[in-house]
Amino acid sequence: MTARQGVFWNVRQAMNLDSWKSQMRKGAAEFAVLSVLRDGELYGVELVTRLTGADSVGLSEGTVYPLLRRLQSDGRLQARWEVNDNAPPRKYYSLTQSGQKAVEGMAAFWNEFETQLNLIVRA
Amino acid sequence: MSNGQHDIEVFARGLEAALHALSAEEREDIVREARAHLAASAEAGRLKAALAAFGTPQTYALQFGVEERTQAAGLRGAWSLAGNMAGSAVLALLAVAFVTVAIIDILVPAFGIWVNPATGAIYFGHAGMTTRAQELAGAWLSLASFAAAGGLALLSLASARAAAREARRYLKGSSVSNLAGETL
Repeated sequence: MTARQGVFWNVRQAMNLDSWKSQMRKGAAEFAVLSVLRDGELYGVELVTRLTGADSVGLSEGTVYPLLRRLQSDGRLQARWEVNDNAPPRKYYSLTQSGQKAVEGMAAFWNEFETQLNLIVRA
Repeated sequence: MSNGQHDIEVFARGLEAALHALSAEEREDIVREARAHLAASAEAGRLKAALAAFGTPQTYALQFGVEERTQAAGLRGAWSLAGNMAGSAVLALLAVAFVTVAIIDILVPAFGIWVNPATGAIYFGHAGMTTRAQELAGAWLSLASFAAAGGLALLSLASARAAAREARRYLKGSSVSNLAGETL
């Protein structure tokens, strides 16, 4: 393999890896949002603070709100506004019954998936 | 207004404009939440970081499915534009046909709607050699044709104006979409 071919090969591998990471993050981001709401309702800034610490999951301030809106449209989350005189208004999110079922199913699958994949990867 | 509040206001207005494809209720909800998040970030002294994470209002708006809605609306608009243009053309042709009938009826006295008293048959056109034929509408044919032509011309004009409105909306939507695409 020439040096030029080597560069192209590395670029293609990096693109494939980015695509794979992006696919992994799509499902994980939804699971992460639903999981942090299992203990009760949270408002936007709280959710962002809880979610944006883990960079690998791919969630940022710029991606959390659109995802929350999609989950709300899908019927997995419900939201309510709370207005305070001395602070910006807050939109609180909580799981719907469908969201609760979804996150329970995801958590059960995740435990099984993680265990089995670890057995393969770490063998 | 402080610099922070000004920056929030500029972002919120830009976002509201970029969310044009969504309903007013959805737009208001998204902008209100973005404003609330930026205000809380400003209080925490990290407004610049929050604005950087959101990106431009156009790129941020794209994440709310604006592009899909714009494309769907664009497709509907294109069909509506084509329908209105075709409708306008057909109505205009019919109007011209009625004007032609009216003019021929005035210039050619033997042209009109005739009835044969012997058979009761009614026909439209030149009386020809049928001397027994009696004209049914007389001068009313030209008047009725002019009236029908006028009505059809008005309908054609309304349809053409609707097509022009749709074309303007389509072009405006395309330019917003392109602007958002360029900022990505």
